[in-house]
Amino acid sequence: MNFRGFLRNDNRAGIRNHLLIFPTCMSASSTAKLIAGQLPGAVSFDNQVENQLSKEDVEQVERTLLGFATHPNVGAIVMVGFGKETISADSLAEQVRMSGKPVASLNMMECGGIKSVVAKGVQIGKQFEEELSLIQRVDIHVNELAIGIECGGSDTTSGLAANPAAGFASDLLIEDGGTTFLSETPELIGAEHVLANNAVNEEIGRQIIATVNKYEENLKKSGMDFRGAQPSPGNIQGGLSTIEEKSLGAIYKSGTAPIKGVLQYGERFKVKGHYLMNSPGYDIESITGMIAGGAQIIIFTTGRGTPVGSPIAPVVKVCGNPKMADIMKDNIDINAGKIITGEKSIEGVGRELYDYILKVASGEKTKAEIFGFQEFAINRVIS
Amino acid sequence: MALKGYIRENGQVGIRNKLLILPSVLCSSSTSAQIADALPNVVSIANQAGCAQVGDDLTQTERTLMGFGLNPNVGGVLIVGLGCEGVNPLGLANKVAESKKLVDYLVIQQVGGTTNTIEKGIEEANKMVNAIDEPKRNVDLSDICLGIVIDNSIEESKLIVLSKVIEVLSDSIGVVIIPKRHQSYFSDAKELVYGKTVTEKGIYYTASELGNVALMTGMVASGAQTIIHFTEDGDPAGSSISPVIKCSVNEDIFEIFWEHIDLDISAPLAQNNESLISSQLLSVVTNTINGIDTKSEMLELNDFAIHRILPTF
Amino acid sequence: MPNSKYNALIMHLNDNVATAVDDLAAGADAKVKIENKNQTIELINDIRFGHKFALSDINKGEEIKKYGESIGVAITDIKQGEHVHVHNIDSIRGKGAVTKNEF
Repeated sequence: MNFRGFLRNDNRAGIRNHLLIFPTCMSASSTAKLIAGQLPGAVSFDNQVENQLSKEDVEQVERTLLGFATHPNVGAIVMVGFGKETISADSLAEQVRMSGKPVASLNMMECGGIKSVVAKGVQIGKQFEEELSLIQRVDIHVNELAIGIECGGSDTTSGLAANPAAGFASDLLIEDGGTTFLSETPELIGAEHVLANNAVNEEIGRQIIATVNKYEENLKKSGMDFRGAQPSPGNIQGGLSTIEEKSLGAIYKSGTAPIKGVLQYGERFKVKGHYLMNSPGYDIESITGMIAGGAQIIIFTTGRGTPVGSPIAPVVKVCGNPKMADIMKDNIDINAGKIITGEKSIEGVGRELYDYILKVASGEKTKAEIFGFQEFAINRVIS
Repeated sequence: MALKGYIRENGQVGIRNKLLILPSVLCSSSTSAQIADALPNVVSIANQAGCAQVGDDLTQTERTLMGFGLNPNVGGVLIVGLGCEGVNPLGLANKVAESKKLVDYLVIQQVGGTTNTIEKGIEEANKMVNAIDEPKRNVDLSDICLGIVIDNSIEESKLIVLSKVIEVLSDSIGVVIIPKRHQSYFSDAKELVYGKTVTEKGIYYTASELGNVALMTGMVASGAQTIIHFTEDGDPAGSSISPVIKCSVNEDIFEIFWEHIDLDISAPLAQNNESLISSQLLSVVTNTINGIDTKSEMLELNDFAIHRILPTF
Repeated sequence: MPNSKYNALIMHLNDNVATAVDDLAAGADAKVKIENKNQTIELINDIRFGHKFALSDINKGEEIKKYGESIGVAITDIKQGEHVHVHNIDSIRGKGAVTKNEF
């Protein structure tokens, strides 16, 4: 089976053809925003990473930024740097060039001030937009698709409806030879033994358990309790009582395909298949990590509904709560609440979701894209 | 020169009269920005936190968001929440309302989706903008809380002069907050918890070893109505509610970045002329208080970042 | 869902709690569905959509089972038909000191 996508020079498949205005650090963020504001077709993000980074943090931040910069959904990049940051615009641009993408690197200190950077950025951006408009979609096999699966704003219906439907769709893509990521390590606490049993071999099973244990240890080291953060106040209001209950519902989005490996936050997968990415429970940070890891599209399951999107990848909202699917219909792409009301089976919604994903891959816009939501946050290493 | 500002119900003095659309979590930040963008003099902040946080890190985020609502430059606050986040939008609204300023809140999951929330938000914000409109009255420098940001790269010899400048400013300005890194220059400086509201006059130091924006954000949360940023590198960081006065200590940087730098003090600094620098700065501060836009305000450079002390879980 | 044959779900045969899929009132009978069987439980409390109630009496210290797995432990004795939530069960995992909110 095929979808209509953009085949890049490095042979990766894109499902969008974005011009990305890319701030390398906090000091370049406002300027990048001013450039993007003058280019209605461009996307950008708010980079709140300070100019100077600690040794522990820099690796993860750089991996994430690079994952965005080389992402196949991005057709061209205007890189905006300040001039004194740890991860420089020039070094990032160099690696983008190797991926064969058109890229310009503007350094504020060299260009002489905000207004000249904005003028140059807009001028180059317009040229890039013209170049991008000439690139046509072509038939690409669905096995080139990578889906990141996220859940957020969960309630009990997440585990009963939205997550099982997402798991079903994940299984369909794996059967077709594609790639999917399960994420959110803290939301595996109490369910890791179930997941480990579903690993491709014992070693990966041990890695899954070790990843979850390390997360729990870090939490204990902070001296703090999960209760209050996980389950979140909204989760509790929705009927979820404990992290174990949330986790056992959350892993349904993994489907039944065996887990091939554990990826670090923002790490790119090398071989197609089903993975666990070690990411936080905070939705946007987790989504950002999976996109950096190569996901071109995100399935976002929810019970209570949420509007968020991402600058470079479509986010598909699947709501398991029939009441919230109606109240938040503006923001929900797939109503999995029909499983709760008995109108549809898990398989029925799973197939509907998979069909919808193929349409989105070929260009149909999700609700978050229509509203222009472009949330971004990197999971930071703070010690 | 007479100083004019907005005297709030609780006696605090604002030098701007902004309506702040305050997102309790990242998930409602874009919605808040879209509401703010629709109306003049309405601002928002790009909150990237607000959920899946624990311990002191959560309370620090809550304190900072609350501090932005309480900042005297803000005449009214419309809090926009998602409805399932760790920072409770209603709790935030109640805390800010203790200052007696105009506060309201919207929760996306209760209002029902983006279109309804933005529509209701704009309608509400429009009413609030009119309600907070008030005349300026006479105020005094002693009513001002000034945040001082100093680039890490500034060398010792310049710092010695700058610290004398700050001493002079603190003679007339009520509260001065400096970065913790420079506390040794000020024997009487008291410690200020990041983002905590200052209630008594004096010199305070707050957490440093952070990026400039996180430091500025903490100072604004503590009540700074304006910030002086002594810059060696020309970092353009600005704030949406408190005007940032950019003051270059490096002539070359001023030449590159004059568009966003208000003042170059490199020459008097080289001559150790602290009295000239102080009087120049006091004159810029006076103009800023009286409503003249700083360059970062003109360019609408609005940055925001909360100093995080634990990772997100 | 007034016409549904059921208004609560069990995820696994070993579970000792069920999840309401409608707002249910105290004193009413919950119609619980698992696979093709229905069971009726008289409710002690109001159970809102998405919330859980006990299928049988659960003793303090006993594990709460959903999806056939432990989701925590009872911190009080719980009666059949009683609301099961944060007030009477607790996590076994992810615990340290309790985080206090600023407000």
